Amino acid sequence: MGKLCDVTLTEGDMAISLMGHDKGRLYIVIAELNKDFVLVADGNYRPVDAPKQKRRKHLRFVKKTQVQFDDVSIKKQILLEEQNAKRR
Amino acid sequence: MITIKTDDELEQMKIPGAIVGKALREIEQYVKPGVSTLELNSIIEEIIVSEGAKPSFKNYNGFPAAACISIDDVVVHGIPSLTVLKEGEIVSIDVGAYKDGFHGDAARTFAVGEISPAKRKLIEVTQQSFFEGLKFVKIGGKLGDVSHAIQTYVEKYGYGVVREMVGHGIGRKLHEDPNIPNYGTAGIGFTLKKGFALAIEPMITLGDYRIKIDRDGWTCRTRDGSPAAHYENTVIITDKGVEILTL
Repeated sequence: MGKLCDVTLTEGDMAISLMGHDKGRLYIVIAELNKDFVLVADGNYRPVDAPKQKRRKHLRFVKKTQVQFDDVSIKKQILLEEQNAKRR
Repeated sequence: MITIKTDDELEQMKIPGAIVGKALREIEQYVKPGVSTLELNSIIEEIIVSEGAKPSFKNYNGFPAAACISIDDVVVHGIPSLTVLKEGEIVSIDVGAYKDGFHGDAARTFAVGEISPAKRKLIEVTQQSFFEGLKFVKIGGKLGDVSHAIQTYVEKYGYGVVREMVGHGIGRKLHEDPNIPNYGTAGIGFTLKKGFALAIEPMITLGDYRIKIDRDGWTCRTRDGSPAAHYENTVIITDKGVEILTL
C-alpha cells in the first residue's frame, strides 16, 4: 500500500479531513504551524480570521491550488471541487 | 526511525511475504471482464485468511477492505466496490498480509482481456522500473540512487512518476521509515544497511504525474484521467544481498 507522503501539505493545498466531527470536509491549508499541525479554513464554518488547527495526519492531501486566502475565494474553490467530486 | 531487523526477524518476514505472493499469483486467473472488484477482494481475503494470516490493509487508518483494487485512472488505494471490470481496462491489485507480528506488502497491475499496446507498455515499464531501482539496493548503497534509477528509467518513456505517494519501510508496522520516493537525486539519502526491509513501489502514469484524492479520502486518481500502473514488492537486505519476499 503506497504511503501518502505527509510532508506535501503546504500553504494553498486542498485537504480532506479524515478524523473528527468535520470528517469528510474539505479545507485549504492557510498556514503551517509545525511538523504536526497546520491551520485550515473553508471560508464557511471556518473563516480565514478564525481558522481551525488540525493535525497533519488527520488530513489527506487532495490537490494544490493557487487560491487567494480570503473567505469568498476559498469557499468558491471548495464548492467547485465538491461539484467535480459529484460528477465523478 | 528506521528499524534494523535481526536475522530471525528477516526470516519471519518471509512468511507474510510468501502469502502475499501466493495471493497475487492466484488472483490473476480471476481478473477478467465481468468480475466485480468486491469479488476479487473476497477471494484475496479468503486466501490470506486460509494461510492463517490477517489482511494488513483492513481497517488500516480506516481502509475498509483487504486489498486496494484500482482501475485505469485510479493510481492506488481504490476501494473494492460493485464496479465490474471491463475489457481493455488495467487493474492494479495491492495486497498486504500480517502474520506472527510482521507485514508483507506487494502489488501488481493486470490487464483485463485485450488491452491497447500503450497500456501494455505502461505495465511493462512500471514492472521493469522496479527492477531498475532494485539494482541499487545493496549494503552501503544510497536510497537516492534507487529513487533516481526508477525516475530516469520511467521518464525515458515519457511517463509520469507520482510524487505524493511513496514506497516505505516495512516490518512490524505496515508503513515504517524511510520513505522511498520514486523520484530523486542520485547519491543522497539514507545509506542502506543489512537488516532493512523495504516496500519499493513505482506508481507510474501514462500522462501527467499529478494526482487528486476523492472525497472518500482514499481513491487516488490521475488529474488528467490517464491510466496508471503500480508494481510493488517487499525486499530485505541481508549479508547475501537483496532478496524479494513477495514474488
